[in-house]
Amino acid sequence: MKPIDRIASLGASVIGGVVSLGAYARLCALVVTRLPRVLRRPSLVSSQVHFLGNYSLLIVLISGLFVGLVLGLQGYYTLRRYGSEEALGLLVALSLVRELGPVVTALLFAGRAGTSLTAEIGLMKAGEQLAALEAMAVNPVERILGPRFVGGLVAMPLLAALFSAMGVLGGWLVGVVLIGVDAGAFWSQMSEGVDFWKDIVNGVVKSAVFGFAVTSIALYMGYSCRPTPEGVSKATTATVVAGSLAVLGLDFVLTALMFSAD
Amino acid sequence: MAFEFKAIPLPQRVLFWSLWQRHDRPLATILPMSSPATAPPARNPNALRFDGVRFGYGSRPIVDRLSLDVYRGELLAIMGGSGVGKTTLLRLMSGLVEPSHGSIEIFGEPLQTTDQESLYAIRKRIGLLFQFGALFTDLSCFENVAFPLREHANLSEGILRDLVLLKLEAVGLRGAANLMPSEVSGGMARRVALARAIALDPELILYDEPFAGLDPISLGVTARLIRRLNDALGATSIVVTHDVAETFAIADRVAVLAPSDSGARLVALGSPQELRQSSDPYVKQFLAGDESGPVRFHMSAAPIEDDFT
Repeated sequence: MKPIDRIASLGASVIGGVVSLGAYARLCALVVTRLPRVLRRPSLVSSQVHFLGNYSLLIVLISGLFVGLVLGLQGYYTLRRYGSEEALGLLVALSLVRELGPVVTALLFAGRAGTSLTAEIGLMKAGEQLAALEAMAVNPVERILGPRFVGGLVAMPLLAALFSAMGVLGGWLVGVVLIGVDAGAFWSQMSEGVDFWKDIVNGVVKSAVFGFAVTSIALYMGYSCRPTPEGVSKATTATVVAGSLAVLGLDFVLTALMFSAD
Repeated sequence: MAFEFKAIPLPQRVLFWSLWQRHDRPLATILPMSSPATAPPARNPNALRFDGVRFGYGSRPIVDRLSLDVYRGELLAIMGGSGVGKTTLLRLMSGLVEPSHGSIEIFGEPLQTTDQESLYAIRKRIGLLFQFGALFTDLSCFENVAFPLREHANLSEGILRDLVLLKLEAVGLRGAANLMPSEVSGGMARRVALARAIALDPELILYDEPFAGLDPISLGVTARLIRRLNDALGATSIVVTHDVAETFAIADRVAVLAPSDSGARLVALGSPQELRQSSDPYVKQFLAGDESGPVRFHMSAAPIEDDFT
């Protein structure tokens, strides 16, 4: 390939990226402006909360438990060097509520619920179901994308909270039950060190932002994919890649904004 | 005492529904049910008008300067070779794509409007049968047909059930009400999709290849069903198809599209009898199914020896 062709190819990629970003922003704006109409039909939203949340519950709970078990072990080994084993509860809780809960849940959510959303919308597009909705004077953004968007937005913070709760349980199992850290110190340090507004609310805000990012990316990828088996397959992969990167990037930005005053 | 829709005899129920649906229209438009299918179409006001419509996907032209009037109450068939742009024409008619030039009017109202509410108001008067049905795969056949009614008509469950079963009965698939789309054949799925397309008693029904892949019995039954629905509903129907024999048996007029470098063009428009007597070489080739004629079966390529030496 000639150098000039490479430059042209690079330029085309950049333009394509900007166009996709614009289309994504436009779809997000369309979905958000349609939310009042979407919320008028709570049954559609609740079925999506069930689909996205309930079906991701098992993997989130099990992952939360194992992350808590590992955190308990690693935290104990590190804190023991400084004779601060009693702070294990605080370490486990802060790690989970501030970071691991929202981030790991969002990554799992992208893999479990995000991919299914993209594949579902993509296959609806390939099967002309979205066109059929339009032809029946039913807005697909309102009827299909909107409820799924709200479902993801509601399900993510709930899943992250359950992940953190299971993680704390895992930390307690390892630290208190298996290793023998004092249970009173474990819980009292945790309750005194974790601030409701600064830690828990910020964690909830983070998980809601991640829910927005992952769900909107999954919907966009499905809605804009080429209506072929290959197109749906590529879109599903792109959901995991773009969703995971967005979560990690946003996590850095949010952490810098939320905890910079510490 | 609660109103019992089921207490009304079946024919009256259908009439009741038609009246209820069309209470804002003159009675004459409600009761053309007994008009014979063979009667020539009266030149009623236009149901649809294409005026110099051009359309293309990117730089590829599909439709070139198409002007066409479709009259209320008639059954128009649009014929042409594969890939000529017939399905695109239906998508233009339903507003799913917009022409680059020219205008489209449905029932005297422009289809190209920036106002989504107006566009949706027009679409509620149109039923579109997709080539492969486009049924919602997560809903049963019953729920697929009920879908437009649930979305647009505020009906009680009892009335909705009766209407859906009547629509399914009209396409001969009341027995498949509880089956999922994956549990019925392709032809049956298309008939369920037809029941869904007529769920709101549309004034304009668009059929995309309704005969493709049907066995001879289903083909004949479907063709007669399309004619019967058109007359019973007092609707206007546009059928995109390749099937000459069945189409000529039911259509009032037939439009033939031919490909050209600048997109599909209308080369013939008339009654089936007029088209049979047409001297246009494309029409003659298409109706006779000849290999020789203005349309080549083989795509242009280098001599065959070049590929096999």
